Amino acid sequence: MVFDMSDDQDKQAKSYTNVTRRSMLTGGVGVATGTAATLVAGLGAEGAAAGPLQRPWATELGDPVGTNPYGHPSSFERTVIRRPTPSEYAPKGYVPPMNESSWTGTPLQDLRGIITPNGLFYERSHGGYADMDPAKHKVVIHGLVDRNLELSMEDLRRFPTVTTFRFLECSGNSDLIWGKATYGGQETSPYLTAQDIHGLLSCAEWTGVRLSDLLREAGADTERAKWLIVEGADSGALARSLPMARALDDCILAFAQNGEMLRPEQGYPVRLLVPGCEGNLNIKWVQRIEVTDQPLFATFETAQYTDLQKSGKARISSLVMEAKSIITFPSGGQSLPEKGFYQIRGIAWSGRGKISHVDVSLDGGRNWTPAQLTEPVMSKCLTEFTMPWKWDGRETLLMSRATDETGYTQPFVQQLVEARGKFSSYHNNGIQTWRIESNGEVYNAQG
Amino acid sequence: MRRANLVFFAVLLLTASGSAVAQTADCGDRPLCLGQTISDADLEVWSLNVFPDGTGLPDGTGNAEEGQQIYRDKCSACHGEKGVGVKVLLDRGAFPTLVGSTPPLTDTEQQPAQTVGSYWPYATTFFDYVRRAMPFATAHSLSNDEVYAVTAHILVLNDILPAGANLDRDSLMQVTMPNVDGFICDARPDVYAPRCMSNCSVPGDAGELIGSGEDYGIPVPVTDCMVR
Repeated sequence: MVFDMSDDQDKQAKSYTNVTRRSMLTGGVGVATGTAATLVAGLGAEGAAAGPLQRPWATELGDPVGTNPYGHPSSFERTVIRRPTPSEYAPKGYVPPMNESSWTGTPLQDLRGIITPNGLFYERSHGGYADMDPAKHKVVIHGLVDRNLELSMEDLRRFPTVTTFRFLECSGNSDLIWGKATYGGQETSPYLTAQDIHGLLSCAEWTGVRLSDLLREAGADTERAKWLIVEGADSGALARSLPMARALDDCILAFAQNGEMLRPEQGYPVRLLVPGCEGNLNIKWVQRIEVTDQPLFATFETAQYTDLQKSGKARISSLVMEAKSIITFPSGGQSLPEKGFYQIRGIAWSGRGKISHVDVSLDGGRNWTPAQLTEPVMSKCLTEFTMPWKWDGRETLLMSRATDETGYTQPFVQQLVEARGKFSSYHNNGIQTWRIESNGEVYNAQG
Repeated sequence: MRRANLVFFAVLLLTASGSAVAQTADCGDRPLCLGQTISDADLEVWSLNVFPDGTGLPDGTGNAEEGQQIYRDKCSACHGEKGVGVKVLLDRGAFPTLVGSTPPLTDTEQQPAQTVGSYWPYATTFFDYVRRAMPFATAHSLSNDEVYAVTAHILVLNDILPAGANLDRDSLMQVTMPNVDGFICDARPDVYAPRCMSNCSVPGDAGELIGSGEDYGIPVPVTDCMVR
């Protein structure tokens, strides 16, 4: 045993952010504090005392239909929520000073398939989020256009729509495992979960209008104009420079997500979607699009979201999110109750197109086996992978590795650190390693 | 003028014919004729973008001394009296540091300082950001003169402008930031990972090749890269 478990579990009991699946799966192991463990214990007692026909839900009526006009998950799933990075497991100074400019991650380890429920879609804002009145919201297109256009939400929704499945990932996602050198030499915590490390990743079905249709409507000079400056209506009026080539290709202004209107956290009433590109470029609450012949060099494309290399130069316009995968089961914070059969599962994605292969290693990267990809496999969208597996009860180093349709294969984190330098932690698409200990507990072994 | 006349004419036509087609008047060759046209003058209240060539810089002027006072009142609570970010809670990070250049960007042992003075490529980027997003909790509350003044103060703190400097459109365009040549286009894919299936090398192995992305894969589109 490498870690002091009693100390860890004591910390978990004190922190709401750490009522993890570990305590749900192994209620009898270690401390039985926290909501989830109590629930498991309660169910066990109920099951032993009463037969199926004597359980409360078999002998009494359930709640009336319509009790929850907007439904929500079972109370037994209450720990499956968005969470900020737990400061006790993050390096000193990692968690931002104010929640108005902060993030929460998606509980990837608790989800199935490829679609993130809207209430669990990751959040990242630089000035909080407002709930804007759609009747007052306008989108303006101006600059190198035949006519400046002002569109109400009603106007926008009358354009022909498209619906696409796309992932969104923050370029800072997975920076916790860039390596301990990045954060003052502190060791990366073994207690980090998939959500803690990789949770700034989600995927949805988006409905909206093609940016190319809006540009045509405004009569944009797409020969001269190579850039669009897209700006949000939030208090930071966050703006980025969008390459015209991408705008004309597959960008949309999305107003619906997974069948319902966008949530305020996702930019209600309308956001930009730049498929395959870093989250920050996908401006929320879009209010203004300037068509120009030069980029803005805005703060969030120069001072931040640029990749400082060991040469002292920084990569700019690093928009693409490269091929990546993670195993979500078994993953950090979870526990295997016994030897035997399990289905390894995870997700893979690429900002350059479709995933073509995911391979799984059970020996720390020496040998790899192709995993099964779950259909549908879509471009710039999450793809689920699975692999049947019998755990022999021995310590196991578990990894996944994605290859996309361009032939690019996901590298080791150490390769990226070597190429870019210790202080270049954006766009980390390196391989995640989980360690399963002989007692079945799973830990982060990366970083 | 031409557009205004067209609008007038089209409205007359619609009214005269009693047409029920609810379209804005100057449809011209617009494919769908959705939305309203808006004049450049009406756009002025919206315009925030300031480009590196000075396009978008407003009229106005500000002095670094005035900027220091505004900064003390409205910025220093988070960014510190000297532009070195304040820590608010023990387990949380500090607010962004605005001043300083050590450790340098080339330091490979300690986290380099990425401040306005050491990292930001253009003074227009700073002006643009302060005007669109600062002060953090009271955005869009500073006048253009005040934004010029605060910009001057931060550039003075970074030894980029002399004490007491004035800034306006012309003088801001004369400022060259120290790290203006510090940015390069994205060069990914930058490492090569073969899809090895058995007896593969792993990090830490003797002779483990890191690989280069130069001759491998499809480079990121050149059209993505912001260049001046």
